[in-house]
Amino acid sequence: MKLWKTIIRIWFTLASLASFLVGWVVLAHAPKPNQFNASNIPSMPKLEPVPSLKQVILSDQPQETIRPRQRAVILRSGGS
Amino acid sequence: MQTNCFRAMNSDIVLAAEGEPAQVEPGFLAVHDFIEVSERRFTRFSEESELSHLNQHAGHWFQVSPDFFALMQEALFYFHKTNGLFNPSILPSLQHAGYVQSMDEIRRIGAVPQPVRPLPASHSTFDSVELDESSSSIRLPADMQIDLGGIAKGWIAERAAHLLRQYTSACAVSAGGDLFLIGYPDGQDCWEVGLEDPRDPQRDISILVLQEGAIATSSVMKRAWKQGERSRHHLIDPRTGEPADTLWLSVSVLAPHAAAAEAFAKAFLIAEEAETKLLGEQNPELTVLAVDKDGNLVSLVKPREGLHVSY
Repeated sequence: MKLWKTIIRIWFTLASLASFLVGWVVLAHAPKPNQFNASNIPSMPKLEPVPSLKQVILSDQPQETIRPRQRAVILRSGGS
Repeated sequence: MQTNCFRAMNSDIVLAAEGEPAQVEPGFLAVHDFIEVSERRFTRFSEESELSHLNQHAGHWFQVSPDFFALMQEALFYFHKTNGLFNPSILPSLQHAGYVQSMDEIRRIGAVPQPVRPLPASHSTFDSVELDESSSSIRLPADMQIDLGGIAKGWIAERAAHLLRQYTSACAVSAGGDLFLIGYPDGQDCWEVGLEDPRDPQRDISILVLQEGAIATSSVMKRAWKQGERSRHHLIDPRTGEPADTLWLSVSVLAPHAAAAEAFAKAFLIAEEAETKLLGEQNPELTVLAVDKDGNLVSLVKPREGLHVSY
């Protein structure tokens, strides 16, 4: 029985060692991953800026109504 | 930009100055004092004002302060420059149309009904006013009464801006929409001024991008009231003695000086088509913008370079 246990231990040790060595060899010979290179990226078409929320909201309104709300000003002239 | 707003001359006054509050506050106080003194001097709604005293002494030489004398010189100058369309001697017509109280009072309690009497005949024209610089004295013809309301406001705005300039690198003074601009806000090379829609004063019909100088607007919608069933306003046509029947709701003038802007705004508003053309040819330094009864903004005189109008 004792001999049987010893054989099993040796078997596990050898199997582990062999598996480790096989894995090492496989990885060492595997193709390496590509490094990042911006020039490899295909050029993308340039997109128009997304309209702001304000423009989107006001674009449905008549031009007359959107004029006064475009900017806030401190000074105004309108007749005394 | 520090700002300071208050009410004077029956108008909203806005002061704007670049700098820290501690730096510009003394300037605001100095301008407050200056405007208060000027209002007491030029108002026709106080019997004690210098203007009222001058009117009471019509027909006689009357000594006035240097400021009053300087403004009268300008008023006469612009009377000639506008071919008589700007005319401070319309006070009797203004009173005849019912403008006998300040506009603040009219807005608060309504216009006091005026008995409709024939307008007193006046044969003198404004250029018959005599000025004596050596004694700082003025003689109005005996049948003349004057109101310096509009031009005084512009003149005061410009003087106040120069006073405020002593405390700051850039400033603006608005006296009821008569504006004088000195320097530019930090990091900018222009001022943005909203051009009020005469049909709805709460909104701007446009934003003007302006250089240093003055802008003034005259509007038939702003100081308006009812006289019985009749709608009246404060812009008297000196040719008829009645509130002017105008092509435009408002006219804005950009000029190097605020008194000029104010006088020409009035003149262009009252002017007929041929007179408008002539005034434009005689005064190419002006930019004149008008709003018609449909709310369209048009340029009456070719805009000078550097003016941008955004919609």
